[in-house]
Amino acid sequence: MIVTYRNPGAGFVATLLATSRAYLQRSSAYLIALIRWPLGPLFTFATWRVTYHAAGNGSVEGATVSGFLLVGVFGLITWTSSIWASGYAVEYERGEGTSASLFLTPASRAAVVAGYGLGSFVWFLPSFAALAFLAIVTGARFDIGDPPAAIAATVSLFVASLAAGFAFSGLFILSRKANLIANVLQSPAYLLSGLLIPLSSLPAWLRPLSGAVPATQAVVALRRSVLLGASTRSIGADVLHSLAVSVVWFVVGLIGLRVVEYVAKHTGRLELF
Amino acid sequence: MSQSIPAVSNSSRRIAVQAARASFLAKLREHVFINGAGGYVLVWVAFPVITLGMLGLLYRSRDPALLGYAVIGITCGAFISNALYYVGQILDEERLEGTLINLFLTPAPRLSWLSGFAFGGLFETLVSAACTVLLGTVVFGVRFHPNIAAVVLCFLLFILALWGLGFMFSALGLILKRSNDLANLLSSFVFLLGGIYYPVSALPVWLRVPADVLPFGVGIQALAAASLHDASFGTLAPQLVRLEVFAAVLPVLGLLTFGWLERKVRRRGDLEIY
Amino acid sequence: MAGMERAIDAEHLRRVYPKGGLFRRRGDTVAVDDISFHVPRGTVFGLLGPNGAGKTTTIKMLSTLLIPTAGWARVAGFDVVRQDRAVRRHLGVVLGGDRGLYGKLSARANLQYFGNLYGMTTDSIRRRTGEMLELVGLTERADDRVERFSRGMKQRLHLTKALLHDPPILILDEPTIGLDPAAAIDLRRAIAALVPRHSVLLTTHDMHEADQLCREIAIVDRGRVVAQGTPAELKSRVSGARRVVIETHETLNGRALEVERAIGALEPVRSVSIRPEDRGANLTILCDDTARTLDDTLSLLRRYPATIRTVTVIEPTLEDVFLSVAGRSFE
Repeated sequence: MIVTYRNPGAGFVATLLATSRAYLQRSSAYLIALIRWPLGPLFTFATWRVTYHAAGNGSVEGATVSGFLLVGVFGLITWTSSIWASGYAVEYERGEGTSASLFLTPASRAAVVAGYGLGSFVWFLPSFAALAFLAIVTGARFDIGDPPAAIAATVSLFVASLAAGFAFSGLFILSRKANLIANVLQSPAYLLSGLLIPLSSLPAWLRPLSGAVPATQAVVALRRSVLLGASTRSIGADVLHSLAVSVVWFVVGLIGLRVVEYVAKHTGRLELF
Repeated sequence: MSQSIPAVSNSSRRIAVQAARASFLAKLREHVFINGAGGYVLVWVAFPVITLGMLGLLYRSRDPALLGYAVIGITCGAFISNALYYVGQILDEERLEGTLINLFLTPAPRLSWLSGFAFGGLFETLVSAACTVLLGTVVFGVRFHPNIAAVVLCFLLFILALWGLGFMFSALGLILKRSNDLANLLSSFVFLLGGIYYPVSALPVWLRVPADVLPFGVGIQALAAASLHDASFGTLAPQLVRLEVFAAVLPVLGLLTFGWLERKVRRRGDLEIY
Repeated sequence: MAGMERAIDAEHLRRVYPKGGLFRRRGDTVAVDDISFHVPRGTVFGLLGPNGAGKTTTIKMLSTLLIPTAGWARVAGFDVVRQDRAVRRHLGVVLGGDRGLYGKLSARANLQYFGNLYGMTTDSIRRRTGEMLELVGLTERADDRVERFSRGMKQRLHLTKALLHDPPILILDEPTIGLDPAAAIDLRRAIAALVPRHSVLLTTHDMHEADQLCREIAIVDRGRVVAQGTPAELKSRVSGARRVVIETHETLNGRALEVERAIGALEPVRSVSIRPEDRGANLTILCDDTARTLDDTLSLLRRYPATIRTVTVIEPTLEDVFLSVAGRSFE
């Protein structure tokens, strides 16, 4: 029979969707993965909720502690999925022994990386729902004055996470220590993007670094729009800041991915694990 | 005719010691030289240091006493992570490398190489613990008033209990696969109930029940009292008794669980499948 | 690639691996020194050589996984460095070993996924998956997870994956390695059926496989092509010669080189190689006059002393060609 091919745009989308489907199928083959992902963020939320309680904090930056942490853990989940799915995509393939098979195809590497991110996001959906429930039960109060503002902030958070995933995926191809790098980057990112503690408590010398993390302003915008009733106009600057930083990270990531694949092929390190 | 010297030792004790030493050296070499001395140490330092930094920013203005507790809690957290990630996860890493079967084919007792791996991972653990204590003392001004003998005793009992749990995690990883997921899940569970960031008493009453049957909270509390407030053996007696029970029961339970689940996996026939 | 006579062109390919890390270099390892060959369209071309000869490195360069240090190559008329995406579109590759498939996915899900990565339409993927699974006899196991497949089944699935997008050119790296004899025969049959529709570059260290499947063969040793031609042409290089294999009880430890030189100096001997074995040594001699060689060699061995376990005389094969051009036995 004659094989027919898609046009490049449709091919990109098909690769993205197929990768995310395959990611979900592979991940759901493990019982422990099915248990871990919904439960992990709940434990993190609960731990920090008790920590704030122990510290005697009743509210954070005008919001309830539970509401503040709900948005923070939501950001933490998207960040985790970007680093450990998009960023880690090639590393997963290496571990599975399929990186060569993947690099032998003409598929867009960006589509594969984005597919991992999408799959991971879908994977976390039950976790989002359970987290929101737990937050409400423990006293979270919402004030969504302007739904488009909340949507814009959420979208900017996803874009920020995906941009970070792209930026890291290139780095991870070249390094045999991707797991190490991902782990090292994780904790500073939690601190700098104000996911679990308010940005206002950070020392002044850390704040400029904080602004260079794409998720930081997106989380601020999301908190203000869903917890404090902020309008689209008032969070506009935060969203734009986040998107601008995301674009920089995204472009750096895309260039990095190409350069790094070339360097990896030059040095013969593409399949090394 | 001269008698040839057997190349393989028949003494099971010698095999056990040899296996423990070899796995200890293999892991230590891997961690220090192959990953680079600065490699995973970075991970092991970044996490506690930044977590302590966050807790410091939270607790500093509210309750400085909690900060001292958190320093001890996070220091102990490094040893808990050793049990989770080195004893618990190690077999899955071997499976991924394709070397798990070779381990099981050796006549050495499981306990010997599992212990060897745990000791091999102590390098990062000790660096991490030291950095946490240093940060607490230098940056957050935490002061220690230790009862050395009590600290040593509490620490030894705590470590024994942790390794017993580590063997159980390891066995669970054999059967569930993807031990990293398991270790991460257990780690977040332990951080909630283990009294690492805060004393177990800060938990809601209904969460204190499961927290009390785990060795983490009682161990950390005893170590915090012994190292920060010069607590005497008398004051520590209730915690020490519970710690002794954990230290006696958990290693045995761990080995029994390991044996049971290993047989189950062999029956299922997917020991090497990742 | 319509109208093109050559499926693959490789000219003076060279690949050097730097030793050490990214920033610390400790010399180089030459995996491929200088390899040139051309694969005619619609044929099976073999790269034959022992382990470590540079075959896999060569095919990694041809399949865009590795950038050559020097030289150039074209696959389906496209440059493997500058037009790597076009090369990948026209190429199906079966890499050695049983990895490269997703163990937790079924055979069908693996093929569907790779079909998408090759940009195939949903309809093409569906039909082609069914056809290909049928062709390699995996229809009944199509929905089983690949991690439960035998090595032979995985290898057939690898071939199916490589053929899925119907590429004009296939590269097969040691496709029968590790298979049981029956599975290897089945796979060889499938490979033979690929031409002339597809052009095939096959790497193997199995002499009989190369002899049986390839129209033309390049013998590779230590990163260089040491001989090239059809199997008949290559064997004609050793026509009239015979291979004498002598097994001794003694290992000839420490004296193997001396014995090798002494036998090599005998007049009818073309080449000789000595390989130590568990209990003794294996002497492989390529010679023109069997009787004289045997006489001279046996009397020479008595002097060392070495006692004979077995003596075998064999018709020349590709292995003898290798012995003749590389000056050592194949293994």
